[in-house]
Amino acid sequence: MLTAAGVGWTALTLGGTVGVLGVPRLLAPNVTAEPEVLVDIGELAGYAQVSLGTVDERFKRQGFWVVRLPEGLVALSTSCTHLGCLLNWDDRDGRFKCPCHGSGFDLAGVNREGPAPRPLERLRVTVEDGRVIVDGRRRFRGERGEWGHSESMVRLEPSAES
Amino acid sequence: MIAEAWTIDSLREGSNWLAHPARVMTICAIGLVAGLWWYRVWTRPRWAALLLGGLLAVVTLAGLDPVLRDKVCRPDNLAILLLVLLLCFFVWRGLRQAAVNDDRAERGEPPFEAGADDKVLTWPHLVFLELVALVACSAFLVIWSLLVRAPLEPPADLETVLNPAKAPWYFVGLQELLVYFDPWLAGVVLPVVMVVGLSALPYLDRNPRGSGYYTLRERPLAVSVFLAAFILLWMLPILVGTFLRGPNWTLYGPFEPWDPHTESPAELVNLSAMVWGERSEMEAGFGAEAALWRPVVRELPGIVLLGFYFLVMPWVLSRTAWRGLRERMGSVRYLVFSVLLMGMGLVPAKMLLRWLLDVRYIVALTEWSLNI
Repeated sequence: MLTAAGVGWTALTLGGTVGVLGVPRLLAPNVTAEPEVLVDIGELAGYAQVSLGTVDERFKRQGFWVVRLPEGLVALSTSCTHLGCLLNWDDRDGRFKCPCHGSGFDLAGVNREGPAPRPLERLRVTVEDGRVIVDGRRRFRGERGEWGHSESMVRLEPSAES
Repeated sequence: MIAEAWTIDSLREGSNWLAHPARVMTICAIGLVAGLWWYRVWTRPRWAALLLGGLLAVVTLAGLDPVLRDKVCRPDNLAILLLVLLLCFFVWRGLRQAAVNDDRAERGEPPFEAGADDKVLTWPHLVFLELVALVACSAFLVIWSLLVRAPLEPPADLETVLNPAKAPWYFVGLQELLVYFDPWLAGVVLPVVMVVGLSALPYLDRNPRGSGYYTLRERPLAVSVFLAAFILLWMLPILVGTFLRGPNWTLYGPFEPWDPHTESPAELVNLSAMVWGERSEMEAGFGAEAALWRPVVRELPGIVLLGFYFLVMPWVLSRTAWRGLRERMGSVRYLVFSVLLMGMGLVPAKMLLRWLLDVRYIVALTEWSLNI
């Protein structure tokens, strides 16, 4: 039984079996860098004071910016809609810029420059007990007409600027 | 002195202006056509040496500029410099041999390669040469890796990404392609079409001439299409992506420092928005409940344009300029060939649309993540 061919075929069979069984393991990544899905970003009253066009960068690690638009408060995703690179806020240009292929998004998240085919996704924002909660599990896509949804933005009076 | 400084500054500014990809590609395309047209003249050793000397002189002079030197002399870029030199050498070598053979063919002589009876046995002649090449290449790589530091970058961070974030040099061309196309098109479809197209070549091109010897006169289409694709669509994007793209992947001239505060690039619009008139892109999207055909109707101009490009143009060409080609190849071969060639032509065509008309996508079925 202990012929060279026997040993060879046994090794091949075992190796093949381990290899096939290993494929699902290979497909599952070692690191899951999922951002926290539910983030309490603070008092709504505090955000109501902020001047228009302010970009809050404190939650970039969690994957979103908080932007004060004339109509209200939105949480914009930080990943480019072209190939998912992490964007940078360029306050001089007033644009979110992609370092990979040159896409640029305006304050509202609309794709203006470069190859990005669709606007930035807006994360769900709700107000509970006067605090603003961002929920990354629900995203609103402008190109699908979802920005009209009530939870895509916390409506604020435009008079906050004045 | 003042006059000299003025001359050098205007030279720098002129080079920066010329270095826009649209102009670089036009210049290279004209150079390629001229090089193929007068290939018997410039490939003569005396002319070629003059051209090489001129090229090296220009590169040396340009290298005196600290800004450009800083961009070019990065460890990762040495391979690209080597690549440019090798590309020049092998294009010259191929066309030189083609010129020699085409001259011989006109005099009724057999090609240069046919005359020499230089067949030798694989073992030991070829295998020995391969061993020498292997040792020499290994030694070269070892010395290179000892002399030049590996271009490693800081550890990954969730909050910051290198700006610009550049691919390894051999993928910069693909990254540059991604500037003009949707990821699935530039990253998946186009590379697959390239591989399939290259694999299909022996079945499409059954012309026995030019087999085993260099020639241009006997196969002008094959040689020029290959050189155009390789130089203009593969090598040039690598050079543009490496040397002309700075922070935020913005275009910078070779003598412009990579200062992140430059003016914003142009705002782009989809072809459909140009045809139907400007409108807020936020409202451009249809909701999930909207009928499926509505985005298709919106993108009809681009779909018609692409249909004309891929279907009508090959048909018109087969009746006019390429009548002989279609007859020689047969209908099926001609169909495959023309669709592949049109697919290749889509790349510079899309680049031109972007540069000249600020078009983002010809067909933008964003609702279905399908953009061309």
